[in-house]
Amino acid sequence: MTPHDTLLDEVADAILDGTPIDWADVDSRADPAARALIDELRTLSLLRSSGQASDASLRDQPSYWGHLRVLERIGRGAFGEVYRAWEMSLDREVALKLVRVSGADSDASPSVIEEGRLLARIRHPNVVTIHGAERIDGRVGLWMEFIKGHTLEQLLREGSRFSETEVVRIGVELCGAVSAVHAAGLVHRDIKAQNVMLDGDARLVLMDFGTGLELRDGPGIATAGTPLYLSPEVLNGGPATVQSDVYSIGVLLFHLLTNAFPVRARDLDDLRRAHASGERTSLATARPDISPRVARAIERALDPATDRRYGSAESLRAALASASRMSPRRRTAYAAAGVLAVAGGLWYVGALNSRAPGQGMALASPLVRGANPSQPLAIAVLPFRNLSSAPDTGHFADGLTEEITRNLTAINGLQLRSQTSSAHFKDEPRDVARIGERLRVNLLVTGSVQRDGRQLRITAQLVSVDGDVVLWSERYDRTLEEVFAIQDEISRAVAAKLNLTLARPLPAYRPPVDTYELYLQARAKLVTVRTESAREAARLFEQVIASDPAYAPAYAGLADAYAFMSWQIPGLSPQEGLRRMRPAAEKAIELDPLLAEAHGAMGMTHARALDWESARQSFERAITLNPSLTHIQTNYVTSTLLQTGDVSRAIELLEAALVTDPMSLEVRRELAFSLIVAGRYDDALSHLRQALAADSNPQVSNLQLARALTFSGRPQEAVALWENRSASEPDWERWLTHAYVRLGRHADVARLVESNRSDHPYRQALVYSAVGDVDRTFAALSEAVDLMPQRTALLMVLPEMSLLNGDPRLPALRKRLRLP
Amino acid sequence: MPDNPRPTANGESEVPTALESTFDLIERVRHGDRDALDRLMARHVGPLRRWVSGRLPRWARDLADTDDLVQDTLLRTFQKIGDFEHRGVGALQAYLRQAVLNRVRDELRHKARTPPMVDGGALSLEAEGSPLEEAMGRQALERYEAALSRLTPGEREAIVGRVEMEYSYAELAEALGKPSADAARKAARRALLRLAEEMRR
Repeated sequence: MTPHDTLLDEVADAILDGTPIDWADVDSRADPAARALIDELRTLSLLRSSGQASDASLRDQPSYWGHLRVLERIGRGAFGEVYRAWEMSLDREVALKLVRVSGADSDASPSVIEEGRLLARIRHPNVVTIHGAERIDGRVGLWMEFIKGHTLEQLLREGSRFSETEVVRIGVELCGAVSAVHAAGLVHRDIKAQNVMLDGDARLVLMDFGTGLELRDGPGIATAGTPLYLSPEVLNGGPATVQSDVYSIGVLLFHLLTNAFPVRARDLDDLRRAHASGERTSLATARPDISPRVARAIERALDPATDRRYGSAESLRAALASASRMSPRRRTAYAAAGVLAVAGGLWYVGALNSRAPGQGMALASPLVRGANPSQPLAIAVLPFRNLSSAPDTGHFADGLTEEITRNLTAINGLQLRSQTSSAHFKDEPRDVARIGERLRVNLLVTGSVQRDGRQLRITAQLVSVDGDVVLWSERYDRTLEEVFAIQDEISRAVAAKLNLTLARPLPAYRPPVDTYELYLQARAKLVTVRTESAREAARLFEQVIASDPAYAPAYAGLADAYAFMSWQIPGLSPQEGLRRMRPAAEKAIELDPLLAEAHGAMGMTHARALDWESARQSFERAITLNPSLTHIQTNYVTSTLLQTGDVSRAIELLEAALVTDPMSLEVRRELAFSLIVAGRYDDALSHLRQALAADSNPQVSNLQLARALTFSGRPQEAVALWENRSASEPDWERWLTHAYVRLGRHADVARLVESNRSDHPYRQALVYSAVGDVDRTFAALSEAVDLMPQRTALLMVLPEMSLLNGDPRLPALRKRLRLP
Repeated sequence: MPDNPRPTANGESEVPTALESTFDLIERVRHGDRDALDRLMARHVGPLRRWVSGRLPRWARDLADTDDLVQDTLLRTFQKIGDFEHRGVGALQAYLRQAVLNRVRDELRHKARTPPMVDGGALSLEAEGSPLEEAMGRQALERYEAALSRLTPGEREAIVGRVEMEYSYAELAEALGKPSADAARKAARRALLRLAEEMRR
């Protein structure tokens, strides 16, 4: 046996036994020919470091790395280790971070080195100075300024509390540091209290470009940062940006002021849920003593909507700086740091929580430990493309899309986006990443329909948004009669592919195909809420029912059509509407007790009959059965919830509906309408502006915008909006009476009062209330209650009618509306 | 190793005479011997847990721990296992590992705790973030796997058993059908050097 073989056996035994190996010694003894084999054994030695990794690095501490003498290990994490080291040539102490995977994953090292070198170019007093990045002896390392001090997290944990002035100064310096990082073309991605230090001289130092440095683009990047500091868009899988860094700064400042977080959660799923449902603590609530300007600046950094958040760290810095100049209180900054620096003695370099390249989850945080890193499954069915040559077949493709969407509601564990939102992408190019982002889904169903007489070809795909990967694909060449079977097969295939189960059986009724086409046409009519189209829809639904008397959705549709016809002025009387709605809704439920639309129609019926409690039960049941049909939720709000004064439930529902149906103008408008009822005019304005940005027919939103402006003290802007005739309709000038009165435009007020005399009492009430004529307002309302009770009940909760409050005549009027 | 030595670190040169044959135990289990089942479990649960903990990403490992999937799978497997003897203990180990892996996959599916669907929907538990990958890096882990697959089943068992499952050499001797712990050690050493050669390719 040669000495060389002995050496190899020795190394092999050490690996098998998990005993320490002095690799420098091995290298010096190794035959050059065996070098490659030794390298592989070195890789294999890492196998033993996986389970009880704590020992691995102890025995693997190098004594030298390049020109650095390694003195002691001061930290370690999943990425590797941080050492205190001595740079001999320059005779200075440095921190050396050795990236563990570099030895084996040579792919990662060039990008690590490249980013390290970019960082090394940043020279800013509040950014840790990176001296260099190299790959030496197969290990990638970064060496940097060695900082003695404490992280903000340590200071907090040790009981330090920061005053407003201190926090503002930290914010200003941190923003400067982050701006410098951004200016270098990098995103930090991991701004948190653990990564910001105060050194012995109370200098703030931004540390650890851990994730920014080490993570390359790819799956998992979304959850690479510390979750509580993550912006909602990153949490939902978006890329880290300058603005997501701004958000993290906001969280950090919030954390320093409150020792808590704006959005709290037990684990990652819980955090996503809390973000989605808008559960957050405002700074003004948590610290009412903070000056409003500072609180506003931090809140704006924390805004979940990127278009309202500061666009850069520099803007946030400027806002904080100017707020602090206004602040009367000035105290010595960093008092806490001074105290602790004396107590110090702790050598510390941040950067302990970083992740290695390619590792998806931030497992170091207790928040994530044990949590499932997978995102909730959210899916949307994109409109199936119509490849038929016949022009009138478009609605067939739409109907197919709708049915598949409906079937997917039967799958447990799947968040479904409403079809009205996915319909926005109907004629757009297939851009999976963009659509996924807009609809906030990670899965899409796409497909096409081709009809040739009674021959049908349908293709369907299940696509993972991440990477645009087709998970399942199928082509069906069948006859037209089999369309329902194909729909079922598609939903079952999706469920099977996602390893999910169907919560309830798919609907069993199947009308003849021609009837079904008629039904789809009728549904299309109902989308545009106009009396004449509602009448046309009712006629078509009647035809469907004549041809297939067992088709439940047609009855529900018919009830909805009558509801619309009897809501408008002029239209069917509410009594006549009710007389037609009830049997249709009852029949729909009788035929299919699990059909959400049937219960929604019944809710409309009960509300029309002023049976508020039954209406509530029907709507809640409908929403449970199919939360993705957001028209049921808007119907619920405007027919029942607002009338009965439950505006908080209305807002909650519509905010949730906006998650299901993010592109829906109707949901956003009704949300704004409800926010106006709640007196939250600024929030209403914000939603209306978002709606208007996407609205091709802005009149409806503009009316609400004018109302919100009027009541938030900007009647001039409301009137200007109306006077810009392209954006308004003559019909709604009477709503502006309230603005004219506020502006003292007496001539306009008089004109409207005059023309009001012969109008519908419902409209009269609106104008009389503006001029403060309580008696006439009551007289008009009293008449309106008989003519259209449900709509009058809605009118009475609007801010236009606030003059009624406290009037002794009000209880009697409410009693007639069966309201408490 | 300064701390955390495996309990079997000493006395490994002793011949495993005291070790009851795994197959004897299985045979006794099949005749309803609870005690034999306990001993079988005691012998195999630990190594398989170690193996699982190296191979699964942490999120999946937590699930496996919570429900004690390893123990549960072994119980079921031992109770229904047929005649394995002619294929040797090494084959049994591989079989048990596969059984555990399948079980974990099934559980994850049923709980719908699938990771994001990025790889065509297949659950690839070994994909990302397992401690082995953290330690070695993705590419090295892949080379390790590929090289491992080119070894003989005996060599493979020697390495996985000793390195990933941390068997004592006495236990390894039984698994490999070797007469002594020392023979098992030599076999493992040869296998490891062969593996390094294969990885160099």
